Amino acid sequence: MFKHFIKFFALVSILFSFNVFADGHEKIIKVVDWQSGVGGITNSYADFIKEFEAANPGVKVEYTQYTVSTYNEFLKPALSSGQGPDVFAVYPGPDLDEVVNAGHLVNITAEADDEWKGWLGSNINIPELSRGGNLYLAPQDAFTEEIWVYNDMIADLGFELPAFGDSYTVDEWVAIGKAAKAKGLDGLMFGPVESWCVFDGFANFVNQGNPDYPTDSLGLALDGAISWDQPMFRDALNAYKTLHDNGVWRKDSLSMDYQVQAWGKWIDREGVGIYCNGDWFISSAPAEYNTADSLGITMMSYPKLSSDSPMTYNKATGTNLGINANSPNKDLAMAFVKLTNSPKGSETFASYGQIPANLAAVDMAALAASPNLLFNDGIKMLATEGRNTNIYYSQAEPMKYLYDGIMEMFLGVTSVDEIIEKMNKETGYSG
Amino acid sequence: MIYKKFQLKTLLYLLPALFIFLVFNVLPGITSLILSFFDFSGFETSLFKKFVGFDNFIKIYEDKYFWIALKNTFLLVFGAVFIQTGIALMLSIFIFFGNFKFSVLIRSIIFFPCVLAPISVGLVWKKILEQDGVLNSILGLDYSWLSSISLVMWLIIMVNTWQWIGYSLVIYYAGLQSLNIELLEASDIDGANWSQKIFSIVVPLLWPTTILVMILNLIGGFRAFDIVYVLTRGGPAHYSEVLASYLYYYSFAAGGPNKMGVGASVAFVIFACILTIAIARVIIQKRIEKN
Amino acid sequence: MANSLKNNYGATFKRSPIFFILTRVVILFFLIIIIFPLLYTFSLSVRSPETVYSAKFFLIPYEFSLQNYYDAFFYAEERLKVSFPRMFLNSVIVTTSSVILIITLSIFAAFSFSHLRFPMKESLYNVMIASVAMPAQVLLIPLFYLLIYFGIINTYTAVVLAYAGFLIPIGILILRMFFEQIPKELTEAGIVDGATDFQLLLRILLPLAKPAIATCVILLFLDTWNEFIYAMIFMQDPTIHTVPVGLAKIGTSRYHINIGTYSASVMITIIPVMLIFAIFQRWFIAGMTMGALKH
Repeated sequence: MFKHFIKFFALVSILFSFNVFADGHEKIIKVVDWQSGVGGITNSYADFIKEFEAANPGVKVEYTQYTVSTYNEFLKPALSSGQGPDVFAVYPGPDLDEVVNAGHLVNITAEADDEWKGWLGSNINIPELSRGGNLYLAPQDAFTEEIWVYNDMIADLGFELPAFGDSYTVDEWVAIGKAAKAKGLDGLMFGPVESWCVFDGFANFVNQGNPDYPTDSLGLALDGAISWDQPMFRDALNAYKTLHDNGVWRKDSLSMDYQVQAWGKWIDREGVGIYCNGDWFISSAPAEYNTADSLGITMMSYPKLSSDSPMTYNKATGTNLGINANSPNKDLAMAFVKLTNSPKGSETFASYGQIPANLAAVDMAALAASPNLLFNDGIKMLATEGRNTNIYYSQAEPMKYLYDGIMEMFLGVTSVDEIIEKMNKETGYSG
Repeated sequence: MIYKKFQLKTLLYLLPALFIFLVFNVLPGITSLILSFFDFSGFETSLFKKFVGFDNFIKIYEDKYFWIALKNTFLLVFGAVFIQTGIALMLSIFIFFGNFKFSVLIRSIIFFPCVLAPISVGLVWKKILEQDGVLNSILGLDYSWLSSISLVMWLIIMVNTWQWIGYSLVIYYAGLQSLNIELLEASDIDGANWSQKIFSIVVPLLWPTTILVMILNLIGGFRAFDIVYVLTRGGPAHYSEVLASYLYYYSFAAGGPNKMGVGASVAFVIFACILTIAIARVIIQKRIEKN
Repeated sequence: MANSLKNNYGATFKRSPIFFILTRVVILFFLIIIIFPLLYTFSLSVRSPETVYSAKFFLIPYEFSLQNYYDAFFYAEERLKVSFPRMFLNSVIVTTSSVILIITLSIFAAFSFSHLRFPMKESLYNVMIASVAMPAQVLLIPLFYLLIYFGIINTYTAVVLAYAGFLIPIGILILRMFFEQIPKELTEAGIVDGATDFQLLLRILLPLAKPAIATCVILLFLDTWNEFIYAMIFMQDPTIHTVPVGLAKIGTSRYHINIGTYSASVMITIIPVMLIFAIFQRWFIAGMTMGALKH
């Protein structure tokens, strides 16, 4: 009997020995983010890693990218088990609250040196990346979020492009949608399975009609401080309803996510425009439409509620890296993140088509003269004056109800009034 | 029973398997039940920091998507039990009595999808059911099948049936092969035609097999997660969630609620359902044995 | 000794033309439904990427090309950071380890259930039966944190143990039933000859139990090879991805992927299984049938 057990355990051990991971003598810094698929980010980080490893012999940087939808599946257990990566991205919003409360992040405001602070400039106070007045996430790239259209397709349908910084109204989009459908195309590609697609557009509509701008009315409403039964919210919901009911995007959109299907189908030229695209996708845009002698792509902001609505832009940061407060290599991790925020870092981002977030020590005008046309437009858009829309909120529950409500409105199961009623109830608005 | 009395070394045989079963099956199960009384977002370093009592259960009670998921789960399970069983019964009878030359080949073909990964099946059908997929091309329509609230669950049932029908079929076939032919020959003398033979003789005789197939399909229906995950991720707007996928949404989804405690309470509900069915089965079996 | 219908089943129904036509039509219909999706996916995968959306009768490509398969292999290597052959190897390692572990432990445990006595035997057995119906996702989160606690997350061991916890009850179920059906005379003869219980198991029961073991092996093989959610969550390191996980990542990935490449990836995972199935058809069917009938 004994020798049978020996054989069995030997066999099992051999099979399990595949698990042996070679442990090097070097220090390893693990960096993760959710930007899988964005070429500009991938290439920029490849450069940063090379530079960092050259400056710090004996240190290796392992960089892994996840997709937006699988990132939390990885991050949560990693952090809560105490085996989190040294540097990791966090979505601004409710996730950041939880991560900070659990004590996982280094307080950058407290621990960064002056040189780093100088590079960050006013970014050290970005509300979406800070809690309690302290910065916890280092911004990497910035973007404006808007609609992109193929110039030739718009012209083909018989529409003129608006001036730079301007955009079509909701009614114009309805007309474009109808014309597109007649040619077997979609007006806009839309990926509402990803909740930010719905929410960011909504925030933009609200901000257009916000009578108290620059007060953050949407934030107040999500807190239950003001009523949802106001024109700015009604108009926003009705705008969405109009766009959907008139088939500006296909009914199937309700099952489409943004990254794979909406973007993919737009690349395949199945639609004239793509809704809620951001400059972070500049590096993934089809090159043949981005050269000086090509037909071109135009960026325009979200649809205007009416032709005299104020121009409203969504501007925000993209990947935002935090440093693990419990990392054994904390100083090295901080040095790496600091590197990405340097002026040279900003130039690296720019060279690969990503708009850098830290422009305090960088020459914007020089940046906006690159051979990448979309990149130049992105910088211009970032600098264009207009209403700025915040897109990162922390009120998780109300945002969920809003998203669910809008999706059900699209499905025809609920009405604008019902959504407003529910939002007032769920945010605890009284009187 | 070889040994009349219990000897300690008996446990030696049992312990390795028991150990793994307890540690990797029962222990997580109990943990899940306990977790349903806590609020855990997934980021904290300790699972059991915030006790919230029955809050999680109240939350899912008031959540209309939970009830949709519950309804969908039962829809899926009963669809599997009745539709899959019924079709398999019909197919097995047709093949068995239909005098097919290639009956072995036919059965193998129908059985083949059972050995595929549910995820492959989901991906294959996803492309077919898309709005610009081949189904619409064949039918000449432009319908968004997977975004339709009323149809989407039926489509999931259909895809699940497509995969597993072969399994029920071969079990039925084995049952048919062990039937007693004398009854059929007797009915020949009585001048019965084929439909009478099938409905009055064959189907009733297959009753034990039918019960077995139904039980297997019931279990299979509860387990169907991969197909939902790949086809619709629970969409559109949570209208095709089943309990297992809703649990996943609450715990892990990006932009989701990040409330693993609530996910655990959904798991609790699943436990309760299965327990109820198991107890019901034991009771029914005892009653049958009594008769 | 009842006359089974095996050999002259067709005879009693030969005379009805309605029945004949009905069966032909229905069976043909179902065969088409079963075959078409797979054939369609295959057809998509062998089209050239440019003409992938056009075809005669939906199935016959305008241009044959294996480009999609190259693209799929390239995609896996570049984007997923793990190549298809490596994924197959990972699946083989996981499946083989799991099956060996589960079968071995199940044989010993089933033996103790069927031939030995110990306290709370039936209650334990009932708990195991109940656990079979549980969907895997219920245990997902606690198991996850448990494996992290043991420090084995992101290794093959994690997944193998998770599968074992889940599938041992099934192994015990099937093997116990089979062991109990072995005639008492054989075991009694062995005792008379002075065999120890271990020798009894090894020399008498096991050789007779070969069909049941074969059944188990097939069921366990399928369950572990096709399993997706545990593999995805417990083994996130790309180099140890198994085939279903890789396929899931390709099918829902963020990079824009040509439908031809997508179909080629699906076919890559289907074709090996198809070949194995074609060879071992009877084993598969018999195995899964037996497993069920013995319940």
